[in-house]
This record gives sequence, C-alpha cells and structure tokens, in this order.
Amino acid sequence: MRFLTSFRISSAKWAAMLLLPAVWFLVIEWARFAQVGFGTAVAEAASFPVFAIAALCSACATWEAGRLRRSRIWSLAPVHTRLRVAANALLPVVTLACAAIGLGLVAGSVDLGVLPDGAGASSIASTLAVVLSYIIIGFSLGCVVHRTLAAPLMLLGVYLWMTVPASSNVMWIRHLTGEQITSSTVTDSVSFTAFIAPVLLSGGVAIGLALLSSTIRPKALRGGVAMSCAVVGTLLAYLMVANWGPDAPMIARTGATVCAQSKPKICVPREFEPQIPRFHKAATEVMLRLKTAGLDAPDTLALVSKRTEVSSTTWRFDPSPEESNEALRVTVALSAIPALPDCFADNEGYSGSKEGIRSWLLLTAGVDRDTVASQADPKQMRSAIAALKMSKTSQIRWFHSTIRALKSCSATPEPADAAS
Amino acid sequence: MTLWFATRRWWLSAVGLLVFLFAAIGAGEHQADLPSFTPIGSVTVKLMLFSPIPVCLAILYCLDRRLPTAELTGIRRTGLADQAVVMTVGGLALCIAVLVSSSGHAASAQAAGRNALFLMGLGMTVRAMLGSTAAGAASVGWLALVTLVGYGGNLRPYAWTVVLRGANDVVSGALACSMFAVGLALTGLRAPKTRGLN
Amino acid sequence: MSISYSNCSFGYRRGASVVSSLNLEFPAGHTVFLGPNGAGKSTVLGLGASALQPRSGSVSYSGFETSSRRSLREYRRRVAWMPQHIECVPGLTAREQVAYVGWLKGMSKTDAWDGATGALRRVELDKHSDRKVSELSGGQLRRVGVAQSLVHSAEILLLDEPTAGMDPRQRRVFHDLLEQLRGSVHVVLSTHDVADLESTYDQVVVLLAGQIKFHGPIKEFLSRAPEGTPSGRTAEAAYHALTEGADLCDF
Repeated sequence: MRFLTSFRISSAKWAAMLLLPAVWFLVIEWARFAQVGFGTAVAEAASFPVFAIAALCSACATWEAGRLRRSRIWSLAPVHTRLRVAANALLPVVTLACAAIGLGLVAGSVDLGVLPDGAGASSIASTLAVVLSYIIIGFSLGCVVHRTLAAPLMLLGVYLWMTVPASSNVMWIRHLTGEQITSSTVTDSVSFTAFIAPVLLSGGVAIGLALLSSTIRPKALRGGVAMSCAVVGTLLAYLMVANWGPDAPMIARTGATVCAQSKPKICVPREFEPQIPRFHKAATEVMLRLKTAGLDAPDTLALVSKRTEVSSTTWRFDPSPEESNEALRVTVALSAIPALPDCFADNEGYSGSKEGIRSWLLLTAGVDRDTVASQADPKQMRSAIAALKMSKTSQIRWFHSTIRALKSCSATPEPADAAS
Repeated sequence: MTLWFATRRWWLSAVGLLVFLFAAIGAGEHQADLPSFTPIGSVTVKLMLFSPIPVCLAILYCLDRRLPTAELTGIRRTGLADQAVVMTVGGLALCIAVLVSSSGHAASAQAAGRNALFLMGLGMTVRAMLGSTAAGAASVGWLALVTLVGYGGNLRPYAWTVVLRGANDVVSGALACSMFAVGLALTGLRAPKTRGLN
Repeated sequence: MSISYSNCSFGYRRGASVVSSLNLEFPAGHTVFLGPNGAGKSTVLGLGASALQPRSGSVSYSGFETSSRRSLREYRRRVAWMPQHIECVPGLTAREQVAYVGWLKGMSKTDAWDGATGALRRVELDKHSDRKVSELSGGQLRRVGVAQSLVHSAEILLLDEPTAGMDPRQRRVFHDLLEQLRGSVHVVLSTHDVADLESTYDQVVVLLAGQIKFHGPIKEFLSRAPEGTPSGRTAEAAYHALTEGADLCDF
C-alpha cells in the first residue's frame, strides 16, 4: 500500500494533531532550563517528550493491530509475510515518531540557538529505540486484547511508566524508563550506559513479544526464546543500574575546553568562549584585591568537570554567561575555596562552616558589604569583619587553617584563634 | 434480561470496581512529579488521580459488546437498561471512594469518586460521537492533558480540569455530574451507527 | 399485508438522496430485489426494517407505521431483517447470539433459546451452535444472520444478500428453506444470485439509482429479455435490458 494511503487511513494522522504541538511546547519548556548555545542540550531537549511520543505512538500501534484483527487480515493468507503486513500498518506510526523527534530537534535548535552536536546522538538514538520498542509492544498487545481496552491501557500504562518512576525513592527504577533523568552540562556528559539500560529493557520485551507472534516452530521453542529475550534484557538492564543513585553516572566532557588570556588564564567550555574577555576582566580585578590581601593568585581559572584533575595553581570556578558583573566577581572570589568534602554526610552535628571565609573573601574582593551581609549568617559575618581587622598575615593564616579544618572535617577556627 | 446481561458481560464492571477499590487503597496518598507546563517544569500529582480508569474502561468495554442493528430494530429497551447499570456503577464508585477515604487510607479518595463519574461521562460522550476506542483514549488522555496544562503559574489547578480539584470543590462536582448525565443520556438515546447500508 | 413505502426519501448526507419520493409496495409472497451496486437496495431494506427513518414520507406494514412510536414496537415485532453485514459479539456462541436477537424481538428467554436452536437447525448450523460466532467462516456467519431473522417467527423477512459467501449446497438448502416458508412468511430478498429465479420468487423489483425500474411478476420480468436469448441466461439478459447504461458489475 502506498505510504500516503497508509497514512490517510492510519490513526497516526489523528495522533499527529495532538502529538506534534505537544512536542514543540514540551521541548521549549524543557529548554528554559538549558544552557543557550549548548548543542548536547538540543538533543536532550528533543528527547524530553519521549513519554508523550511513546505513549501516543504505542496506543496508535495498538489501534492498528486491532484494525487488522477486526478485518481478519491474518486469516486472509496474504502473499506478504506477517512481518511485512505489520510493518506496512506501522509505517505511519513509526513515521510519526520520527517526525516528532525531528520536530523536537528543530524546536530545541531554534530555542537554544545552536544545532545539535554529536554528543547528543546517544540521547536521540536511545529515545528512538525506546519508542520503537513500545510501538512493537503496543502492536503485540493490540493483537490479543480488545481494542476498547488495549489502546487506552497502553496509553496510560506507558505514560505512567515513563513519568512516575522519575520521582520514586527506588533509585534503580528511575533509570529504566527511557526518560532521561540527568542532563548533561557544559562540563559533564551523561554516561553512555544511561542510554543503554532502558533500551535493553524495552527492547528485550519488544523482541520477546515480536517472537511470540512469529511462526517459529515448535511453539515451545518460540515461547522459550521469546521469554529468554525479555528476561535477559530486563536482567541486564537492572544489573546495569542496580547500584545507581538518584542521578545517572556522568563523565567529564572532553575536548570541549578552550583557554585564553593570561594572569590568570581563563579556561571554559567552548560554548562560553565569547564570554572569556568579560570573565577575565572580573578575574583580574578580584585577583588584584586578593593578592593585596596576601593570597597567592592562581595561574588559571578553569570551568571543568569535578572529575578532571587540575594543578595546584588552578582554581575551579563556575561562572554563567547570564550572571551580572557583580555576581561574576562573587563567583571569581569564591573560587579561592577549593573542593571540600561533605562533612555532614558522616557527622550530622558537624559544627564547622566555610561561611566565615566565604564572607571574608567577598569583602576582600570588594563586594558591597550589604550584599555580603544579606547572604551570610550574622555570626559568620561578624567573624569575617573581625578577621579584616587583623594583620594580613593573621588573616591568611586564619584562611588556610580554616581550609585545612574543612578538608579534615574538624572544627573551624575563629579569627582570634588564628591570630594567636 | 440474562441474555442481555451475558452479552454485555456486565460482571466485568464489577471487576472494574474491584480494581478501582484496590487501586485507591494502593495509591493512597502517594505522589509523583509529572511533567507539566509550570514555572518549575513539573507538578506533584497524587497517584489516586488515575485510580478511576479501570471502572471507566470496564463500562466502555461492556457498552461496546452489542449487536447495534439488532438492538436498533428490536423492541427491548436495552438503552434504558444500559443507563440503569451505568448509574448503578457510578453510584458504587462513589461509595467505594467514600469508603476508602473514611477508612483513613486516603483522604484524597473522596475526589476519586467524583473523578470516576466525570471520566465515565466523558468516555460515554466521546463514544457516542467517535466510537469506543476513542472513548477510552479520551478518558485517559484527559488525565494526561490536565497534568500537562491544567496548572496555573501558582501551581493551583484550573477549574476546568475538574479531576484535579479538591473533593469539596462545588463547581467540579457540578461539572462531573453534568458530564455524567450527558454521557448517560447519549448512551441511552443515541442510535448506534448502522453499518453495511449503501 | 405487505411493507409499503409511501413517498419515501432518504439520504445519508445532507443534500444527497439515496432514494427520493419512493412509492413501493412489496407484495405478498417471495420478492427478489435486484439492482446494481449502490442502487439503494440495502437502504430500502433498512428503511423497511425501521433501522433508518425516512426524511420524508412513511413506511408501514399491516397498519403499523415506523414513524409512530406507538406502533413501532408492533411493527418491529412483525418484521425481521438480516443486514448485509452480520455483526458478532466476541465470545458469544452462535446459539447465544441468535437467542439474544430473539430476546430483543420480544421473546422470553426460554422461547428465545428454543427458537435459536430451531433456527440454527433450519440453516444446518446446529452442529456449530456452540462455536463462537467470531470463529465461523463467512458463509457460516451469513447463515447465523439468516437464523437471526428466523428466530422470532416474524411475518415478513427482509434479507440483504443472504446467500453471499455460501457454497452451492448451502444455497440449495437456503432455497429449500424459502420454499418451506412460502405461504406463512413473506420474504423480500436482495441478491446477485439469479440461479432459479423463476422457481423461487413470485415478484421482481429492480432498483436503479434509487428509483424503481421494474416491479412485477417474475414472468413479466423474464419477458424483458431480448428474443433469442438462450434459456439459461434469460434472467441475466432481462436484467441487462432493464439496467442498460448502469453499473453492470453484478453478473
């Protein structure tokens, strides 16, 4: 049957009227929280509506199966194989799914102002594979269950399966639905395994159901192979994610850092390259003041993954292109505090705090006192102001001893203690 | 009437009610964050929202088990009988909801009874116009639609959503009853489409 | 007593009529209803069955009109209809489905069961009465349809292509059944099967584009065949002569 004829009589025609606008708005909605200019975010934005695409397309597949059943196609002894007949019926639905994903990519590109990059291919491929799997599952269900029940059950079941686990306390289940729980950032990418696990699960079940509908003989062998596919796929998927926490594993993004300027050198992801001069200006002003206060200025300020090792003369900072100049100065100043362990994880009653040196850094960097006071604990603010009255050497000694205490999760000293 | 009852398989609506009961007890006050067009990109929804679907689908399935042309040209008032059963099922769904909420399992179950009436009414209305497959999809689709676009900027549900509103919301109660009444009327009065005539 | 169409018009869409100002009376006895595809035969039978309501005009039988709610019940009790498409309820056996139709026509449950058994025996489906309707072949399904029209002992049967999909032996059984019904039940039947037209039917009605092209005894119909037509092809030739220029895909 010609494609246009198939599409004209298919349920996909009606579903498209709902799905395509929904995909557009969902992608735009997701992209609100994404980094403008970040190519990987385009693909991840396009993948966000997977719950809607999978739910609607699988319901359409169920509908098509019901239509074939009702017209007794399978008993008409068609010349074409069952697979060919099914594929012909599902082609419009698959086309709708691809169109929806493609539209998502367009919407994401338009909103984020950049084309998708190669790193987002895993996300798109995973989304497509998951949607195709649910289409097969829906078709298989529609072959056996009455269509009054099958289509709505598939619609509801897939929708709930793909949306509810994301907020579940059972961590492993969050990573199996096909909905991307964790987003890539300019410094870190979601690990490839996060895209494989949901494909293994849905794909295993889909292949199992497709095998059940095949004509492999004997029946027992067919059933055994089908069951094995579903079980193996499910088990493998579970084993992959069993020990994961609330977020999917991330890896440091490589090959995307550009460095420019000097004293200090500024290293940022390529998406932030146009901002380097602005970052450098803020850094130069802040570093001058910190140097005057006695701190050793770094050679490099770097926005890189926490998983990336940096030298002792590199400070990590986390600027954002949307930050105001004042906020940028705060970010640069606070980069003097290195990465610290989470002391509250092992000791809920831990009394140490970095707020004192945080306030001191901001005041030293020239941030407005009222601005600092509005963000700080009053007690820690008083410590910072008291420290400013000490000699330069005492201030630096207090700063470094506080850092040491925070690194070893011991009590942080008061400025007076450092002075003595 | 036993022949009519057997043809419709109305006992399935009893199964639907049982599943509704267990779903309401199981869902309890559990919540989930679902994607939504809100300032934060999601909204917290009680899973109880989805519990009336089994009743709704059961009713639609049973109503679909018919011989349209034979019933159209027959003298038995199967339409009235169908209406009576649907009203009974609706009433029982309300009772189940009240039972679950008053037993302390889930206070939000009370709204589930009203929602069951609304979704049944919506399903029957769509069925009269577009057929039974679209009817089931419409009832389920309504739930997905309201979670996506049914909340305002202050994360409060709009009045038109009906199913998201509190159990004591008078407007939602009236809308649910109206929708149920419309669906009921269309089920009993509207002649099913005839096929094979040209 | 016969079904009478008085100035009937009907269309499925606004502005388009399938039949218009139809005046027709199916006489007593067995009447065969002929016409090309799309002529409106099924629509006329549907109107006669009260499945459709005419836009204008009226349909009546034995003094009972389909437009009057009061007499519709009695009308339907007396008229049986086998539509072109036989529906089946998934999971119901042939006997259950035929009994259900009998109950819909006003029979009690016991009578409906007994009627169903008898009706299925008449169409030689008694061996399959406990099989699910959805599992029956196309020809068997049509016999279920015939049984559905026989179950409640109606006075007039409107049968829309009852022999479509039946094998030759089953057609013979069906014709024998029509003979058994002669005298007690009137039959109006649309068909494309013109074998044994003369021996089976009393009257012929030919419908063309919603209008009556011919209505009369079978002999008069056959006389419309051109001279010299071989005896086995008289009916076909008569039909062609009457419907010349119309869709001729029937034979």
